[in-house]
Amino acid sequence: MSAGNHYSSKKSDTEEWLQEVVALSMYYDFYGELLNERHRQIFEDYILNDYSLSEISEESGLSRQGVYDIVKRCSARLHQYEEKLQLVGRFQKTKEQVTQINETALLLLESDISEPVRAAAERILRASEQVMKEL
Amino acid sequence: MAVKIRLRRMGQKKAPFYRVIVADERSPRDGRFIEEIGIYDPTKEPTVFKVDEEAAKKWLATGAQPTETVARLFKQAGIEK
Repeated sequence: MSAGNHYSSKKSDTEEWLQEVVALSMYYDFYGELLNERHRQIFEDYILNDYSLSEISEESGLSRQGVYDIVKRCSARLHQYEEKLQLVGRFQKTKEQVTQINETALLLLESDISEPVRAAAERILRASEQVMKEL
Repeated sequence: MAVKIRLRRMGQKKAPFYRVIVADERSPRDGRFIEEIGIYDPTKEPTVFKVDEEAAKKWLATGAQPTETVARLFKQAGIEK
């Protein structure tokens, strides 16, 4: 997914826009601290708090175009970080796999198993919960 | 003061979750709002979008303005004034 083109058609396609908002807010959780502080506030207002460009412009004293440029630049940076570092992609993949381990352990615990197997399943369950918490 | 209906990000880091909230146009960014009328949860498979239709219609009828994102979500859910 390229970074810029979602803004030319500004919030045009609902699904696509929401996917972009969710992706950007995930990227922001991982890489937000790498953005400049003033830009972060504007990015947060637009992407996380759903304020409009005009509202942010009024509030910040920047032009509407200025706000738009900052949001666009921040979004492009976040996409670049993810492209290079893949922290969000890896996080999501690991989370999915640990969830599977967790669900499998639960399934096992619900079935008729011997005491040693139950103890092992419980250890797997606890370990998977720990991994999820620390992810 | 105008009232807005927004999609606001909540939830912990790395677990995005959104509420559809009704708030004064100039309400500060600290999270205060008048009412929560829906949720959007992309961490579920498939994504969950739930909105209290009656409340949404009531607010729209009193002149609350949905943001572009919320307006589109409402339209998708078949909610109109």
